[in-house]
Parts: sequence; C-alpha cells; structure tokens
Amino acid sequence: QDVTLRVHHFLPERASLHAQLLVPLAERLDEASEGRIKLELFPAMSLGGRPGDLYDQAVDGAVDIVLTLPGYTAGRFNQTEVFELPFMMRDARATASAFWDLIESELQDGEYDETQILGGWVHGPGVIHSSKPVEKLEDLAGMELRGPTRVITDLLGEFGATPVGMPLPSIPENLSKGVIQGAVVPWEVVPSIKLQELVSNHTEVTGDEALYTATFVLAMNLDAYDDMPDELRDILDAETGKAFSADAGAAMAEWDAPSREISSGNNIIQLSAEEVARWKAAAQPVYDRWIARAEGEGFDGAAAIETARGLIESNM
Amino acid sequence: MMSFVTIERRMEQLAGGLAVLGGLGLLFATAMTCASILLKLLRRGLDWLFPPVDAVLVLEAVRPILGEEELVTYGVGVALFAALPWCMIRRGHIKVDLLEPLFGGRFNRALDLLGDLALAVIAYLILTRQWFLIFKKARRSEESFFGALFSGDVSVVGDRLRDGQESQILGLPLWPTYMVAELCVAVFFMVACFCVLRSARALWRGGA
Amino acid sequence: MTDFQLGLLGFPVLLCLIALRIPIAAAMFIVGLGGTYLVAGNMRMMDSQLKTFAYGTLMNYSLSIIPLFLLMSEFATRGGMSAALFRAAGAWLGHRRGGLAMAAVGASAGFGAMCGSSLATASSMGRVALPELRRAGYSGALSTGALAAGGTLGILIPPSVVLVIYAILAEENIERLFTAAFIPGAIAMIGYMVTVAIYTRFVPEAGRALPRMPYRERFAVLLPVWPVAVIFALVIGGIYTGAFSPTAAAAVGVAGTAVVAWFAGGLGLAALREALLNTAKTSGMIFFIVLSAGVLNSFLSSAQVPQSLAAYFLSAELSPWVILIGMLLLYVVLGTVMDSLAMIFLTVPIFIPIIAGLDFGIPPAEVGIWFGILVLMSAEIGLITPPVGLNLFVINAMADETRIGQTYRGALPFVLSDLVRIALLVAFPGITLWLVRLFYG
Ligand code: NA
Ligand code: NA
Repeated sequence: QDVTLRVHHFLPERASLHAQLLVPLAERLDEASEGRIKLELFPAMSLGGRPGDLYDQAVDGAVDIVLTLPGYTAGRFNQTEVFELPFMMRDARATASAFWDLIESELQDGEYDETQILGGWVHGPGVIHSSKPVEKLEDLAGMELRGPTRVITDLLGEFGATPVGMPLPSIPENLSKGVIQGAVVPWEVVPSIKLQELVSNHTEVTGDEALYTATFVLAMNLDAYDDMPDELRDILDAETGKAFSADAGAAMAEWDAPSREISSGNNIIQLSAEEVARWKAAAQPVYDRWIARAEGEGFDGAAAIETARGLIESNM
Repeated sequence: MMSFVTIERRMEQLAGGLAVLGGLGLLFATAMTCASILLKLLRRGLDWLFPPVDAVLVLEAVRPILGEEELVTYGVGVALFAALPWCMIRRGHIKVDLLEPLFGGRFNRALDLLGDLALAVIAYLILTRQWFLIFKKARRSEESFFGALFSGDVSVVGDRLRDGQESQILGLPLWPTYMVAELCVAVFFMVACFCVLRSARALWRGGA
Repeated sequence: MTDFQLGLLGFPVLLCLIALRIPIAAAMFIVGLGGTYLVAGNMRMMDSQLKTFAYGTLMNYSLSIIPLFLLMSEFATRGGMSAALFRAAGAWLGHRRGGLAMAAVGASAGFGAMCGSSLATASSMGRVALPELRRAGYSGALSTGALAAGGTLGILIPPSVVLVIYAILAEENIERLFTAAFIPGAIAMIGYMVTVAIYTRFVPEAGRALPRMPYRERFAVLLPVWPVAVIFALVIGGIYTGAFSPTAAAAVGVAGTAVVAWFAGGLGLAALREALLNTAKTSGMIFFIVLSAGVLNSFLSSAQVPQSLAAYFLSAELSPWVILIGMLLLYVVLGTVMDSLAMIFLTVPIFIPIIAGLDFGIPPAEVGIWFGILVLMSAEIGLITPPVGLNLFVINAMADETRIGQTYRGALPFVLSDLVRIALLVAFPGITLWLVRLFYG
C-alpha cells in the first residue's frame, strides 16, 4: 500500500529549508520508493495554528510530519537546549551530527518520546547585526537587541543589553524606527529581511566556537511511522537520519556565504581572540543558570555540557 | 426548583461578572504598556544625558519592562476568554437576518434555537479538546484520567500536567493561563446551554 | 469527490447556513470543522485545531490591539469627545446648506481617527448628532444616511480593525497599511461632504442652512476638541516615530481617553463597568469570527482551494484589471447581505495568491498594500447598502421617527460616492501609495 505524508511547517515556500531541503527530500523519497511515498508539503502554517503548535500537531497526528524549532516551545526540550548555549556550537555539520547522536542515544526515548525524530540539525553561526558597531563587550550596554532564543536572550541581558522578543518579520520595521538597534541572527536570513540595508555593522565571533546556534527537528507522528509498511519505512529511515541531519546542518552553514557576500560593503567586525575570551568569561553566569535550571528539570547540566562537547569533538 | 427568571438573572450575573473581571486584564495591559513606555523614554533621556558606559550605572532599574509584549498578550487574552460568555448571553454574535421577515415567527424561533445549539456544540468541543493543553493524553494506556483525579491519585494528575511549557522571554509557566482559558470556556459552555434553554422556551411558549 | 470539489462545496453550504440565521461565526466553524474531518478522513486534525486554535487566537499579541481600540472608543464617547467634535464641526459648517450633515461627516472622521471600528463610530456620533439634526429640521433620510456613511469613516480612516485583520491574513505591515489609508480616508470624508452638498442642492428642504456663527464663537467651540487632537497625535505620532508598536499605541490611546473621560466626569465605576462590558461583547463577537475563520481557512487550504484557484486564474489569461474589478464587485454584491469581516476572512486568503501573481504596473511589494485599501473600501460599502447594512440599522434604531425605507434612500447617494472613490483608487494607485512611498522610500 502507498503512503502519503502531510508535512507542515512555518517557513514560506521560497525559504531555502523548504525549497532546498524538503522539496529534494520529497523527490528522493519518491524516487527511492518508485512513487510509493509521497510528501505533501504545506508551507507557511497553511494548515493553521502558530509555529509553536507544530510539534503538538505531529504528536496528535493532525499532520504526519512537521519541521519546527524546539525553541518555539520554551521549557519543553531542555536537554536539546545544550546545543544552543553560547560558544557551544562549532562546525555546523559536526554540531548537527552531534545533535543527531544525542537524539539517537538519549533524546528520542526522552524528551522526544511523543514523536519519531527523522532529523535534527543546527543553523550556521549566529552574528550580531547592529546600527552602532559592537567591537567590545561594553558596546552592547543599553542596546535594545532582538534575541533569537531563550538562552541568548539571557546572554544579552547578562552582557548589559536589553533583549527584545519579536518575530523575524517585525525586525525591519522596528530597526528602521529605532525601537531596536540590532538583531542577533545567522547570516542566512539577512537578505530576506533586508538587514544589510538597515544596519551597517556585523559582529562575528572568531575562533572555534560560534556565538550561538538554534536547533531544528523534523518530527513524525508515531502512529504514522509505525503504520508504514516495513519496506517503505526502511526507505524513509535510509533517506533521513544522521546523514540527512549532517547535510542539513552543512547546507544551512553554506547558505550563509552568499548572504555575507551581499553585506560585504558593510563594516564586518571580527572579534579578536582576547575579546572573545572576555565574552566567554562574561557568559559564565548564563552557564551557571542553565545548569541550575537543569537540576530542576531532573538532569545533570554540567554532564550534559560535557557530553555535547564530546559529541561535537568526535564528529569534527 | 429555581424559576427561569432567577436562573436567567444568575447567568447574566455570572457572565457579566466574568467579563468585568477579565476586563481588568485589559486595564492591566494598558497600565503595563504605559509604564514600560515611560521607563523607556526615561532611559533614553538618561542615556542622552550621560556618556554610554556610565549610563548603565545611572539608575540601573530604569529600563523598559522586560517581556512587556507577553504580559500584554496574557492580559488581553484573559479578557477575551472572559468575554465569550457575555457575548453569548447578550446575543452578540452577528447573524444575517435577511430572510427573517419571510420565515414567520415560529420558524424563526426554531432557527434561533438551532443557532444557539450550534454555539453550544462548539463550546463543548473546545472545552473537551482544549483540556489536553493542560493535561497530556495518556499514551497507549486506557486508564481513566478522571478516575485518578477523583480517587485523589495526585501523582498521576501531576505527571499529566503540562507544566513544562514556558513563555519565550520571561519564562513564565503557561499552564495557569491554560487553566484560566479552560475555566472561561467552561462558563461559556454553561451559558451557551442556558441560551439553548432560553430559545427552546421561547419556541415552546410561542407568542411574539 | 476530490478534496478540491469538497472545498468548493463548502461555500454553498456556508451560505445556506448563514441564510438560515445561524450566527456567521458558528457557520464558519462548523463548515471548517466538518470539511477538515472529511478531507483528513479522521478526527485528529479536528481535535488538534480544537485544542490549540482558541488559545492561539485569543492569546495573540498582534490581535490584542483590537479590544484596546474598542475600549478606547468607549472611553472617548464617555469623555464627551464625539459631542465636542460635532459641536465644533457644526459651528464651522452649519451655515451652509446641508451644513450640519456635513458636520456629522466631519466629526465622524475626527472620531474615526481615534477609533478603529465603524459601528462604534456610528453609534457614538449618532447619539450626539441625531437630536441636533432633528432640531435643525433636517430630513430623516439625510440625517440617518449621512451618519451611517460617516460611521464607515471609523474604519476607513486609520486606525482600523479591518486593516489589522487584513494585515495578518495577507502578511502585510500594519503601519504601512495605516499610512496608505490616510489619503483614501480623507477623500472618503470629502466625497461624503460633496454628496451632501449635491443632495441638498436638489432637495433643499432636506437640510436648510443655519444662521452663520461669529468667528469668535467658532474658535471658542474649537477649544474643547484639543484632547482629541492630543490623543490622535500620541497614538498615530507614536506609531510613526517609532516610540512604540501599534499595540502599545492603542494602550496609550486607552490611557489617554480614560484620563479625558475621568476629568469630564464620565468615568465612574458604573461607567467603567459599562465600558468593559460593551468592549467584551464586541470583542467576543470579533474574535469568535477570527477563530472560526482560522478553522475554515485551514480546511480550504488542506483541500488545496486557494492554491488551485490561484493556479487557474493565473493560467486563464484574463486581464489583471478584469480580475481585480471582478473581485471588488464581488465584495460590493456580497456586502449587500454579508458581514464585512466574514467576507474578508473568506476571500482574502484566496485572493492574495492570485493578486500577487498579476502585473498592475506597480512594484509587487506595493500591490498588497494597494489591494488592501481597495478591499477595505469595497467591503465597507456593505455597511450602508440595503437590505443588510449594520450602520443603517444602528443609526435607524436611534432615530425613532425615521422609517428604515427612508434610511435606505438616504444612504444611496453615499453608496454612489463610495463607488466613484473606489474607481478613482483603482485607476490611480498612486493616490494610495504616495504617502507610503514618501515615508518608507
Ligand atoms: Na479609524
Ligand atoms: Na449591506
């Protein structure tokens, strides 16, 4: 019997993750199964709800597969958050592979036990884009910045900035009117919100570790997964999983390059090694709070950080 | 047994009281936003008066209220949930009465009943499904949740409570807002049932 | 039956339910839910929507602006702001033929600049102006017609609840839409005044001129209008200068009007309670429609209705202008019997992908804004077209001696003025887009 899987996500049709990751995945599955596995893609929340509802839609079987960010449901995927800690991410492919390894070994039967995870990856290194140059830690003081994830919001506050929460599409308007003076996002999304025209300074963290990243998962309803005929499920497993996740991470990092090129006329600041060391030292309270929080959630935060670092190292 | 008029008055009081209580959420959102804007303008003034580095040290506490958007959202959201029963009992939902003069009194009253019934069914569906925002479904187990609830098995109830979800910026736990929403929908359902009774009674009694 | 056919079948079913006097929101909810069940073949999507949609719609920062605007106009009425506006406009215009009716239009425009809703504007101005118009000997037809038309200015002149909803449906920017609505809104006001002038030229006894007021007195009655000006400047100025977001601006407006009402002695505990209850009733109605439209649109989208219709119209090789005018006419026709919000919810998600694929000779980024203003204007005509026109009902209910037939007749000249204005905006997109280009480059 043939299988049609409805895939729901929040990104517009023109977004790279839709056009260059999901569409090719649908084509590969179609080919490998000789037309027996069909992915029906529903971009831009067209089946209703908010991005934060996506994961539950997969859990409840409202749709078969969702592409979502664990960070959209704050407080629910606390162990995943380890990869979003500042200065944790290294190479995107390695970090994505490490995330997948952790999903396989622990998280699938832990915080993701309500779905079958088909892939887990991260985006390229996060960058600070601001109207005034950020060359040292003190430059952040008093700056109103749009923060991407809970951990980074905490970090910006720790650095003396005022973190502001808003959806991605609201950034341009608020920047142009001075409601915020900058935003923290990876290079890839810069052109889609015309960030390179709205700010003239971009601060990159040099060295091995990135300022931050955010995690993505491709999650499938358990019943839909269990109900697939064995041979089709094998095909699905083969086309997703570790290699798929690593490629997704690598692809997202590659999509950064053209966007950075577009912004090359601006002032791209690269923090020196000494300055990065100061930032890392200043980020320590964020780590401490995260570890204390982990204890409340019933796991050993310090050990989780070590495990994540080890997994990234082994995938480098 | 209570007379219909008594029930009607009680229901009006309940729905009206809830709506006014929820309306305080609107006032809270208003006050909070204004306070945040004043603090922000003050902060900008201070930053303008003092050099950037010192500014942080000058009256550190003067900064916009963090997570203002979230507080506004919850304040207004509670007001909206609390408004549902009042809108129902006051027949606030728009109908197209184009054909009303053609239908004749009795048929119109039957349609009124049908409309109220439709709203009551919707209220019931939301009430019973929204429940699972607060409590997880048992996975692959048929044990009765209500059984556990009424036998006082607190640990089962606690395990099922979705207490993990938090707001994005402030990290406020969301389950209390789910509870308030569910409570308001419960009142909405009750009032909708009363409205069904009210229009059934009008149909039964006839008259103008 | 294919999913697409099922989706199309949803429309006649919906219209039947609405004709059977089922509340519009309930009809949309039921059709959406039933359709979702039939397309999916199981209850799971339906259950998931019932679980999250209500919470997601009501706890939503972008939508929270709507109840705030409603509360603001409640306070504004209690602060005597509509009365002050009408008195000032009457002093300056009353000596012309039909002048008091023009004043009602002008005052409605002023009130509309603070208020986001058409019904609120109509009822607030009606309460103040109807007795004065009757005392001056104005005909029932002209009085109620002008006030019903003036009421639509509440939503044509920003801020506007309908534009907020369009912005969310079409993923357009709220502030740009507000900016774009200014000049068309002003044209609407002028158009209504010109209509009054022409009407009273042919039917002079409908509204005779009053004695001219000396300038000293005219300036004196201008003074009590200052709170309106200050609040308008705070709200709109705050949004455009970036001091705060639109929702925050609405909250500032609530606080401002509350202060004015308090000093005017119109905001005791009982009045506050009344204001909160009125706001609850209207916002309950609006949000139930928003929620139901979400359910319905999810069904239509899962049945591929918008996608297939867009593909069909784009391949049909019709002139873009024919498609556009056809859409706008559909609003006017449907508007005679349907509610404007429900119409917008039903059509905008389907029309937007079609419109986005057409070439009107203006930059694609501006098409959505221009189309939004055209949709707003065409849909709001429905408020003053018989047989079902909410503004007509609201105003007529306040005018005891005027029969509904007279109100229908009185409103028709204003409908004509609406049609002329829409034709103008279709022919010259620059009228709508000029301010947007000026502000946002
Ligand atoms: Na308005
Ligand atoms: Na109409």
